[in-house]
Amino acid sequence: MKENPHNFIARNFLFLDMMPVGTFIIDQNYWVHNWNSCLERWSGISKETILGTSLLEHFPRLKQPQYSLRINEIFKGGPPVIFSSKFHQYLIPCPIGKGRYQTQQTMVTPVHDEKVQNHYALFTIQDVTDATHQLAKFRTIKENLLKKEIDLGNLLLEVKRINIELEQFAQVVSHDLKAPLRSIQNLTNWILDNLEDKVAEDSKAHLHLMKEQVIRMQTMIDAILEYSKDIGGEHKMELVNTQTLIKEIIEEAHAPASFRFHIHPDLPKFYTHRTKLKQVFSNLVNNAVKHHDRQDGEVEIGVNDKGETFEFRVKDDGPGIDPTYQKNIFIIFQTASKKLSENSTGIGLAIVKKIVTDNKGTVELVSSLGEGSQFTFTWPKNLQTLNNPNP
Amino acid sequence: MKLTEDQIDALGEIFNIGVGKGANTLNQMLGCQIKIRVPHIQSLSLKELEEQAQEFGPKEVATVNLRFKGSLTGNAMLAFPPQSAQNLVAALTGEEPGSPELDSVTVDTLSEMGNIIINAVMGSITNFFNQRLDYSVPHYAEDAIHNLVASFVSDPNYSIIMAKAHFSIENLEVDGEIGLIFGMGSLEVLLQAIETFKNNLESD
Repeated sequence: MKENPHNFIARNFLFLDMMPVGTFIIDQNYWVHNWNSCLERWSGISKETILGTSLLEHFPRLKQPQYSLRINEIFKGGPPVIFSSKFHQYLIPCPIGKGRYQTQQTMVTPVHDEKVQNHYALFTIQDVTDATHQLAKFRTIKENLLKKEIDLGNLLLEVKRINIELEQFAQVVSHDLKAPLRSIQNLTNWILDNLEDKVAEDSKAHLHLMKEQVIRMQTMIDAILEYSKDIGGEHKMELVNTQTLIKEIIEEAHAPASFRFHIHPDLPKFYTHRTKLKQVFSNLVNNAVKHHDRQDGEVEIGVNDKGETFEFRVKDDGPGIDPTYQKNIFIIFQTASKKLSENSTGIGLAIVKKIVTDNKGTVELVSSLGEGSQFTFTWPKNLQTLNNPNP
Repeated sequence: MKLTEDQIDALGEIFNIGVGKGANTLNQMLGCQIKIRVPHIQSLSLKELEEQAQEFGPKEVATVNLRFKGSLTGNAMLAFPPQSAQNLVAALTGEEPGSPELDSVTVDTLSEMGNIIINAVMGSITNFFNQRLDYSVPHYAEDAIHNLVASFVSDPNYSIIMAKAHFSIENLEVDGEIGLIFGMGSLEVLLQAIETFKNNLESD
């Protein structure tokens, strides 16, 4: 009795049933001779249903020339054929729930019997759904990050632009405000000169008060200008010896000869923005001198190493600051007393706070009336790392 | 071996018929207009290929490979510089080109495209024979081209045919290489088959 030629498949490809990928074998008439268990499970089509029937009855889509022409080449002895997941989501629809189907990569390889008389095509299907989804997810994350980076870059440019505008605005406003103030000052002087003996003492006092207020206003405008100048400036990094820096500041503070300064010997030498650090120390040391109530005051400048930052302190034995004013002391035009005076513009500590917080540092005040004040601020050891964490 | 001008012309025609058929399949599959032509082919020894490759530096290429054996033995390869491969796949799939490294989808896509073109070229070559060739499973690899070729060559007398393949897809123009590395005597068998075919045509 003549053996069914297709028994060759049954005899030789039993192992396919144990493969963890979907496989099936068809002959040149597209009759199905093998349909493995994995594919049975994936597709929901049982072996009994499909074996011995035409593949095209179940999947008429494969009649399209883009599939059939390439598959037919296999039966003519052509090389293996690849159907990638990108161009064909799947060859055999395998549902995975919620109306979705597997994403597949399929390889078709030629198979023939011992006598090379019967030719078959072996389809090997890999489920790449998870990999494709993970890749799509990864791409979305990557695109979002890139978008954020671009947005951040644009935002930084915008901030720089606004800072420049703000600085220019502050300069223009200060200049424009100062001009009429100068006129008022001059006019007040003229009135006082002209009417020296002709006005009542009250009015004269009012005119003097007016003159003082004009001077006060000029000082405040200068302070705004100074504050705004600090906004966008570029500062270069240099090796700073804080010991020397403090000595320089003390010299410029013109403290009474009886004043005593204690400079901590551990004050470091490190690379940082000299101008900014000097500005912070300058304001704190000057305040300690300026607001002291005695000629023999003492000021201590020290440091604690806090790992990635230095914690500097400026401590005085002055009159201390009333707790009522401590909360607002770092706000522009707020001072340790009710009134702004010529001596105190209320800008110094605002600048200190601004510079320190710009460098991700903190500034704190510990003070009580009659017991002096201590200002501490943190300053990063490596500003470069802070400003550019991923060089 | 040194090829005569006639032999180069004949091989050039076989390549062009093959890539033309491959382009048709791609056009049919993707519904876009792809043109592929092979403007130039050359025959090289491995040493000559290494020298040529070194002129361009140790640049990596993305390749799809197909080994064959039978009356002809060797390896067929389609090679692209990674960025060209990215651009090509992007043009074929309509996606934005990503990073220079090829991701798995690109590898998958390039494998199918390479498979179509190599199969078509091999189909064009085997038309001269009445015998079948046995093929291995196509595979994807990245390395410097001469390293890849060297991995297929077990004898310095292997003949290497490198054919420049020029792809035009809408506004994109990309050059790749189709390499055929023939085992001992295989190129001679092919050239003989072409000669016989030509003589038969002339005597008809």
